[in-house]
Amino acid sequence: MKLHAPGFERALRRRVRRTVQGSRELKKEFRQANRFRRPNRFGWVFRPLYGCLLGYLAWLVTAQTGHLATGLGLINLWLFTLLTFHTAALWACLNASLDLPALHLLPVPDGRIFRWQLQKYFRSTFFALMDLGIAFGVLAAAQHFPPWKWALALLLAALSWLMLMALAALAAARLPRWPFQFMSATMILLGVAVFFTRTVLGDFAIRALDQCAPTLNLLLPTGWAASLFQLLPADRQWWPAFLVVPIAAILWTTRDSLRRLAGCVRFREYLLALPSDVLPEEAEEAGPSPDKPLQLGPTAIEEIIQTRRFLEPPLWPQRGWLEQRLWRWLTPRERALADFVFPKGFPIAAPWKSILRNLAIALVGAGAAGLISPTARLSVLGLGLFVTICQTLAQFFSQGRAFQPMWCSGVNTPIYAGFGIGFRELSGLLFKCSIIQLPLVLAFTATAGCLTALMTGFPAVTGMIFGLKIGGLFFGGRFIMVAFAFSSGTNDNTRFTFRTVALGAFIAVFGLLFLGLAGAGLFLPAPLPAWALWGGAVLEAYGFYWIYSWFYNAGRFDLMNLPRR
Amino acid sequence: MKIELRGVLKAYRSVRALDHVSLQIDPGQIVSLLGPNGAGKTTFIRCLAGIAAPDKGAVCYDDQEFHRDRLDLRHRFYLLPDFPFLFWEQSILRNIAIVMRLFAADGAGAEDRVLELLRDFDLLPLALRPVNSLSRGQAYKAGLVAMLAVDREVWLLDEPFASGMDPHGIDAFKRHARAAAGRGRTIIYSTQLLDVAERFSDRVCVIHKGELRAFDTLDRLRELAGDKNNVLEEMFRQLREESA
Repeated sequence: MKLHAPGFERALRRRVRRTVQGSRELKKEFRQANRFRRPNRFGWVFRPLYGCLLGYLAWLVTAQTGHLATGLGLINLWLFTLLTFHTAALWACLNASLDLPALHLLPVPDGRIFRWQLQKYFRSTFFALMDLGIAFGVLAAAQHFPPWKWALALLLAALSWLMLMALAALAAARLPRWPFQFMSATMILLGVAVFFTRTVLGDFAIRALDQCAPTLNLLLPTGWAASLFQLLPADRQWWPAFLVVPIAAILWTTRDSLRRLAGCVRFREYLLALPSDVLPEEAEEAGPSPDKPLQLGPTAIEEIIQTRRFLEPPLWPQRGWLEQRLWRWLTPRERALADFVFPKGFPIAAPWKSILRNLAIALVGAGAAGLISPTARLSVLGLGLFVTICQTLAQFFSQGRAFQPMWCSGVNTPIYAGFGIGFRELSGLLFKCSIIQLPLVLAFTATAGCLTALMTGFPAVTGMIFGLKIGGLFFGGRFIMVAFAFSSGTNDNTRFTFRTVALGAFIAVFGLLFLGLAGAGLFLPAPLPAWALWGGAVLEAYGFYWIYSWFYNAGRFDLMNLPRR
Repeated sequence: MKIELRGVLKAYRSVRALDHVSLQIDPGQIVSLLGPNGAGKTTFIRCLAGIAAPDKGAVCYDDQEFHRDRLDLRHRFYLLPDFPFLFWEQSILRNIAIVMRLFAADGAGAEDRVLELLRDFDLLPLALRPVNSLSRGQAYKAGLVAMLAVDREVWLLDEPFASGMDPHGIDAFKRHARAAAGRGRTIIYSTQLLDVAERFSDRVCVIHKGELRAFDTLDRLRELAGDKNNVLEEMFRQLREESA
């Protein structure tokens, strides 16, 4: 689809280029402007390396375990991570793209803009197809397939990719409120954690994957198309053939998903005229109209203002016991900040009820799946824990609206920067919001650890201690997340200067050190050094936060950045 | 509140947005920032507000160097960018209340002040409407009312006259600004409208390619200029010729 006149654009571009080439001053400005706004042009060179990595890992686990399903399980996990990415990307492309305001100025219908944005998203997903092509190719090579089976393997890669697209559309249309970004971040974090602890955990992770892979490939829809690969080898299994039915059903939903997405994407700039003054006599004459809803007029608004009702503290602290405790703990300044950071309130009780409900569902589901097989029980429990941990992290690391970027004068500035809010006071409020939930987090992680240990044959106490340590690390992670939240609204990494290199090196070193200390604190067998290293990880996270605050307050960067393309 | 810039240098890569700018602004003045597009006016305001950090030099308020952790100084001024910082799904009144609480300006008499300002800017009937249902000019007025309600010592405004406000809103803003300057408030705003700057400023600050080209009263600039009736236009013509 073309939303432009290519001939005109070509001529315009040629003319601009000729004008720029003819002037030394313009050439200089062009170079400067382009250098400032140039996107990463070499991303496509490095991106295929991900596909190669996936292929290598799939081959490695297949070779080590001797089970094709395990390699496919790894591809399934990869696809699941991509699904969370793609769902968030699709939603952002249709609702939050920077192009939308400009596109809606064009005299074209909304449907056409929707298709245009969809095409852009679609083009961005081809790398996923390449990943799958490489991974399935590697598995086909490992199985010594003849050429016609190779062709089928590549067709399965394409089918998996189509499933990914269909699932992303389905999730974006039906589950837009799910924390997909948190889910993808958690998956990546898990991957990184396994990578850094591979010498200790590598064999365990492969064994666990080997056990769970068949169930995982059935439970996660991203693995259905990949499971068809098991029809190709000489010692084929026939049961995956039944997956064709749910695959067809998912693909069939795509049309409806896109229709739903098109229905909810409605960019509008509201321009409403001032309401005309309503004189009391006219209003009395007209009488109440059943067609028009009753609106508050100036007199009622004046009353709200004169009685200072508009200045009353927010109502959310009255909603739950924990909310009340938090409100009482806050200083007057922090209460004003809390009203600013959470203008719609900061719910604690309701999200935690939802987390505990989902954990209970996972437990019941795991118990029921345990009747079929122990592996199914473990997989259902793992899936349930993954979802509830994502929910917990989203709630525990909640940072409200303080870091919301506001576009002004061509840059994005975090909203807190406009109101004289300091680094320490804002982060202090966010820490209090987390600390009030810490007992719940620790109870959740200890329970989750205990249950996992019981179901995997470890002592319950070991699992509980492991869970408590994870909860403590979540608290340490809060310091890092706050620093990252501040960093997200700055240009601390966009310029190549000594300061930014020093800051980048500091973030990399401290980040890796935290992961290393946390990993050692969790998995070291000797209890005393393990606890010491665990404490070191939490302290190190605080150190990270403290040093970043020094960079911030010393004005080593600006509180603004360029909007993302 | 006295404002002083001491050799402030701010560069974005090789472009110097502010090139060793030094000046002093006494309290109770209305200062217009003038200059071609990309001259450094917005950067000037951002440096004053602590959003942009100077590479060299210092910004001082009342002879005290301003850093981001100097919240006591930061609470004495208010920044209103070209697109005001508001929660767009919240009502005008809610936004004003949030800002007033943040600046601890919700004491006695706050309600009368807000009511008067909402009336002045024709926002009273819209006060309970969410900001995202307003036009750009109305949204800007909402930001302006929040700024006037908290009434800080220094007002920093980026392009207030290109904000979509109607003539009545502009007039109300000018009235309030004049009265505030009389109370010792300092108002610094950027604009491209030379006739507005000529009529509505005590001092004019002209920036070109990051350099401070003029900072004086209009009367003094007139004394120095050849064309006494169009002093700012002539200055801009000279800058343009210089660039060419």
